[in-house]
Amino acid sequence: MKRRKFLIGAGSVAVGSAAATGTGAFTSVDANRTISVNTAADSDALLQLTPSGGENGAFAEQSNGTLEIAIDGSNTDSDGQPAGSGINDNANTIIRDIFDITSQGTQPVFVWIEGLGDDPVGVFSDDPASGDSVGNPDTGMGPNNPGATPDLPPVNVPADHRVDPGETQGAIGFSFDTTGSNTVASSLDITVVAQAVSKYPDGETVANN
Amino acid sequence: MNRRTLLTTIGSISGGAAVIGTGAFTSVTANRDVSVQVTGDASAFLRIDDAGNANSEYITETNGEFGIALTSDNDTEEGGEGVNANSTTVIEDLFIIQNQGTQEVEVGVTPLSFVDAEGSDTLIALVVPQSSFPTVTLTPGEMETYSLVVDSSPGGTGLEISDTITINGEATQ
Repeated sequence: MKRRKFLIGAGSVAVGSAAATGTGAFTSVDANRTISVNTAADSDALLQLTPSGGENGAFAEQSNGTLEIAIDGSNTDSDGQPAGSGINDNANTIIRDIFDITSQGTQPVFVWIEGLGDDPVGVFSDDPASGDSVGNPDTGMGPNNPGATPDLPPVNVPADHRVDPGETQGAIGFSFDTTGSNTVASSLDITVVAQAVSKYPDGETVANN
Repeated sequence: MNRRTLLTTIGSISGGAAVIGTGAFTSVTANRDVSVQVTGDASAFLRIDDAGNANSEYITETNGEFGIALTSDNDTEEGGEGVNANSTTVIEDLFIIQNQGTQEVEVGVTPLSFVDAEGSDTLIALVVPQSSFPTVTLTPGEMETYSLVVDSSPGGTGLEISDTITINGEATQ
């Protein structure tokens, strides 16, 4: 190889490597890291859903890792309660204190229930976690709340439903109105929502405890 | 071979004619300092770190290496051992990648989706960059924030994603 030709060859290699090795602090970084996620039963998950410790906790049970509420007599406690197999027709039925929601996450969340649809079913809590509404025991948690504080989450998430890490929104119950021509579907797939909210609907910032 | 020919030959082979050919010196050995320090991800040129919020509990650091763990091995302070079965969990602003180097880099995280399936149950995790998809260009000092969306459906508590996520930073020029 002639010298000139060789230098040209070396030159182009050098240019190539200059671009590759660079002048900066780094030209490329390739880092393999780990990601791991597992599902956990409702009893252990970030949003803990558990049957209440009260008598009406018998209406709820963990089924294949998820909380199931059966008001049809299929869930019974060790004493065989409840013996009945459903709610009365043409009646208003309130069943308090069936299950609890505990936040096992890392920041304050607001919790509410969705998925009740147009059925005359209400969901409420008698135990506001924040204690902000002691004088207002029936705190609605869903769109239909007979006899409870009306709210349409998340448009108007009441401060009562704030649950800080480790805290519990307890004593959640249901109400059913089967009066007149009202009917309640035999199966409702309700959704428990827990959402970190930085501002209230009126724009006021949610303060950290 | 005479001397002149030899020198020419050496010159052309080495391509280092400027050094060897002048005769002023044949070799120079000069010691210079090169210092390289290996540091944790949180302080490296390509910084990989939690987002400095409450979600940092979901970030692990092992020997300086960043990791994401929503597992029973990394349970939260309040005892949360994983995402709920049959749920969608959004963790907004989970981690950041910041360019702490000296030149503009293109940063990519791959893969952005992870799946585990068992029977009809699935667990899906999606890494969502905030400003640009799928890669983002960061000038020195700039950072990108990433969120995580986890969906488990319809149920199953034994699902687990345990995978490698690759973070790549490449200078744009």
